[in-house]
Amino acid sequence: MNKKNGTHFNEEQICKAIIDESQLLPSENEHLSDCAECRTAVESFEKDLKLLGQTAERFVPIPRKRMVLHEKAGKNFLWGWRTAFTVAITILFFVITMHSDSMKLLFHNKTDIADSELYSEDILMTEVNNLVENSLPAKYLFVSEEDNTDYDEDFIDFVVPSIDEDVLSSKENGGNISC
Amino acid sequence: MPLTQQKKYPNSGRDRKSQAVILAEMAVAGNPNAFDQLVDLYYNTIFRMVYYRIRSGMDAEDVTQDIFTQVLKNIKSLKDFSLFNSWLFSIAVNRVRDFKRKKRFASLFGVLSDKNTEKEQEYEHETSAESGPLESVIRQNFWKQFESILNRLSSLEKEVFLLRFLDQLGIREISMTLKKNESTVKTHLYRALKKIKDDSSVKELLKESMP
Repeated sequence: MNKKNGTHFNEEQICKAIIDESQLLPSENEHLSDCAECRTAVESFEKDLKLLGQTAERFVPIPRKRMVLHEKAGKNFLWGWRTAFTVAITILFFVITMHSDSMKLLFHNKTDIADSELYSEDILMTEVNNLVENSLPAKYLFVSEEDNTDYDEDFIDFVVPSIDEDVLSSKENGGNISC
Repeated sequence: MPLTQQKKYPNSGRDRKSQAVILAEMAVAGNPNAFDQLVDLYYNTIFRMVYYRIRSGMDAEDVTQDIFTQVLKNIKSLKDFSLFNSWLFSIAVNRVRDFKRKKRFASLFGVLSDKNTEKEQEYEHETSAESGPLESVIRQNFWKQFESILNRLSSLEKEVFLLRFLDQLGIREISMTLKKNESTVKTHLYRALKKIKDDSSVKELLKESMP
């Protein structure tokens, strides 16, 4: 024990001395420079730590492969091109598929619209023709006994000759009514 | 300084750091050879740093590669080249942390296959073949005991201890690497040393590992 500069270093002071000697108090520094025992304790622990570091370094395996940053960059470049190419092809495929579908749809739609327009025009014209022939609705045709519009006019004329024709023919024959 | 004169790297850490500063400046200026030399200068240091923490040679190679890729990508963002060493180590610490997280996550779902273990054994066998079977056994024993010693420390104590005594960084560099106050670093280092000093297994480990 060094009576001149106080007691020997404890663990805390030894650790402090190893971490940063400037952390020690001036009295502690003085003691450390004077006391061989404390100096040995600090140096011994320091040596152990250094030896631990050296042993760890010795037992680290030697790396097999070296840095290949430029090769990796090249690979990335190639990979980037491959990816870009694949993406472009995929986009192109989708565009073509969608375009062809939309064209089909467009064409299909146009014909459909034309057909439906023609059909509706036919229906309209039929209705117009029906109205021209007979403007009464079907239920009134029955009341007016004109629902049977499908008769043959020639046949009716044969069965019931028109009065106008008879009058005309009698006038032509000098007022004589022929039976 | 011409590149041809920079091929011999001095052993001193301070000289290496000043060399790194010059090379980093040149790499940022667009000199690809300078970056290659910077990688040469630090490759083994960073590989060792990673190996101390993940203890798998194969994975350490991959993580080291990843670290230098990050350095290459981000070196232009480095403002003060005198801080290159701390900057490099901070990238390395973060990458190692990411790797450990990924590995933990993968092991949680049982993604890690036996193939990886086989490859790792093969890798260990290859590297041990260079040093001999006895050395291989001593090495395995060393890392096993070393891990058990480190497991007594908290994660920050462990990191600070490794950076100081295995990676040989100064207190200021550690504080910049971990983005912590110098006093915080010292406190954690002090706690780590106290735990290690109390532990007799360190002396035993060193005795057993002596050549």
